[in-house]
Amino acid sequence: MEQYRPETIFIEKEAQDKELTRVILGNLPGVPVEYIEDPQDALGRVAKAQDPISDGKKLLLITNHPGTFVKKCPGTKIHICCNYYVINAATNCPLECSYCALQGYLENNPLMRVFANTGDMLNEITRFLDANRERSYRLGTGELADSLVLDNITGFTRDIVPFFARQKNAVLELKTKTDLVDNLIGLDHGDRVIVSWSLSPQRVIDEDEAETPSLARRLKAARRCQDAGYQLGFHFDPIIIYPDWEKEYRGVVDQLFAVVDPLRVSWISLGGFRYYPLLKRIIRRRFPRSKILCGEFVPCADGKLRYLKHIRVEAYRKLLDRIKGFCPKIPVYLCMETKEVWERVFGYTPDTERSLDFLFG
Amino acid sequence: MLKRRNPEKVETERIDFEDRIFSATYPLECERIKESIARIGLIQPLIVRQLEKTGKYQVVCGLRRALACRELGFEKIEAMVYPEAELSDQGGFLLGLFENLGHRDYNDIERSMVLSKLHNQFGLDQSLIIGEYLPLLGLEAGEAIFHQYLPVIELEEEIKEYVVQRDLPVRVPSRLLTLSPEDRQASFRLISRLNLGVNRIMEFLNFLEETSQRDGVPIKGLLGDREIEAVLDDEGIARPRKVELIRYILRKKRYPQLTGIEAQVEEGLKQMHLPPELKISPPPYFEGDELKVEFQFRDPKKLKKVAERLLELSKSPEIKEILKII
Repeated sequence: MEQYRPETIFIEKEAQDKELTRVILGNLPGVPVEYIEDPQDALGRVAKAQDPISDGKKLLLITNHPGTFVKKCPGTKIHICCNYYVINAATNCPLECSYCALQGYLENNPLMRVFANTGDMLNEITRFLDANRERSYRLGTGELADSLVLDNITGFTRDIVPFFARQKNAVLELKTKTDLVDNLIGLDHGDRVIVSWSLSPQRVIDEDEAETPSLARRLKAARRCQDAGYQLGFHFDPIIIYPDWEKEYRGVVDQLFAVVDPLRVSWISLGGFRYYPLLKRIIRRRFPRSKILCGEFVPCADGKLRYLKHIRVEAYRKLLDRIKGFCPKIPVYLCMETKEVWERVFGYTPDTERSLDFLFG
Repeated sequence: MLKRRNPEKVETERIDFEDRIFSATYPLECERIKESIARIGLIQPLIVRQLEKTGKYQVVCGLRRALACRELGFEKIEAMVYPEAELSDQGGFLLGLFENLGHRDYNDIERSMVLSKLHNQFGLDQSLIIGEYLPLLGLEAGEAIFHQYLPVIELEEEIKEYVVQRDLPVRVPSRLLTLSPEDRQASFRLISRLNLGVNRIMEFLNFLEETSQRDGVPIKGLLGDREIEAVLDDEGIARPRKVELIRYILRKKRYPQLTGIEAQVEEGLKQMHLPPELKISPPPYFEGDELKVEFQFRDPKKLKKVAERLLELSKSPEIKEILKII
């Protein structure tokens, strides 16, 4: 896929001497650079644009993260939580998926942001893991950004992967839709890094994941990582329902296991498309041709809209059957679903927050 | 600053009423002004520009007053006259704009007209319009707002008139503009026939657009449905009931599975013949697997009756069926 190249790089004062800043500038020769005192100086360029979300993605802000990097995945009380922690090393994504929740989360802060204080981040992760040595953690960088989409310009994985290789009580998930895995090959990962892909039928990729590589390219990249000794993860999330969804998603599962070894798969998640009402307005404006909003969505207790329960349960069951047909032992979980839906899909309900840990043990 | 001219009487027949270059008034209805002028005369003179070649007058400020005077049969109208050389097209338009801003608010169609003229007719830079003129028009200075308002003036006359008459917010005309002309006409006919409020308009347009996009059927086709036409044409049904019925039909088209399950549950509950003091309801949108029971009583005897009925229900196949459905 084409490498992300911003129109302008903004560098905040405190970040200008950082190693990551130097690496980025070295990888993006010829891109105009502006040094700024305040991120608002950069935000002001897009705030009043017709489409700040699109324009914001063209500007890369290198800054220091002022707060905490590690956060608990934002689950809710009414959903089964998979005990996941997110590391926010960057925010925003240039891949232009119509359904992307970041469009809503970052509507008022739509620049591509990379945090240059990597040292602070690694120290914080160390403190976090040291504080509870007897527990095992899953952490990932793919919550507010695609884990690999900027890796060719930041080289971030060259720091984070060997760092996790040395951890005893944690694994790192690098979640992506890209095929940008060159930096990963040859790194010491210590079997502590899971590279995972979000998968969709090619039709969904063509219609709603505009700037992402094809399914075949994603799977080829997954195979390269498998050959390099990485464990793999896959996310059927968001699952989109349309007239041929069943046949086409079945096809994705078949293609997946034609390329990767099921025994190298650490987990697979399933999650139906869900969104906050605010996102509807954004999708309608930015992707007027997308049919993604045409499903039968209903409001749920957490304020998001989801496909009608009956539709979700059917989709999960069918995908689960297909996956288990290839390897009954692959851990499969539902993302942001209620106990009731778990019960209907798996025949059991994890009764505590921690009970999902057994899946990933 | 333009030099103030002393008013003079100009011949009505030399005013070019069709020349709207300076006008940003919508609609051009002048009944009330006519009434006022008929009673007290024209207090405020027009501002006009005289064209060099033809000697004709273009109305810079006061087109509605001018039309009213003409309808009242004035042979001459008092006006401040500027020669063409002293007042450019853009200058004249801005003069009219500022003159109006001093004493009235623009409606959304007029705002769109102003933006369109500044941008398309006088070629003003977009950022200048956004930064200076949007706030003058009472709008937030932003590109998105500019692009929302700009095309509204392109709407069909009947829709623009309706928008002004009903004082509909700009999101309504703006949404209608996203539809094809045929679909827009069909949607507008429904909106105006049912005299829908803003929230209902948006809800109906959501149902229609999403169903149309999903099924690949134009909105015009969806609204040509016999069931809908029958409701609209039935003179025996009051308007609020028509709105309810059409909403029911559109929602059923948009959410076939949800409405199908709702109908099954409703039918199951009907089969139970519940007494009025006892109510069973499914979870909202079927998110959840529990039914809710509500009952009322005013003496222990009634409570016992309800409890006995509930006990009976617990063994009934209907309740099992509903639980299975949800």
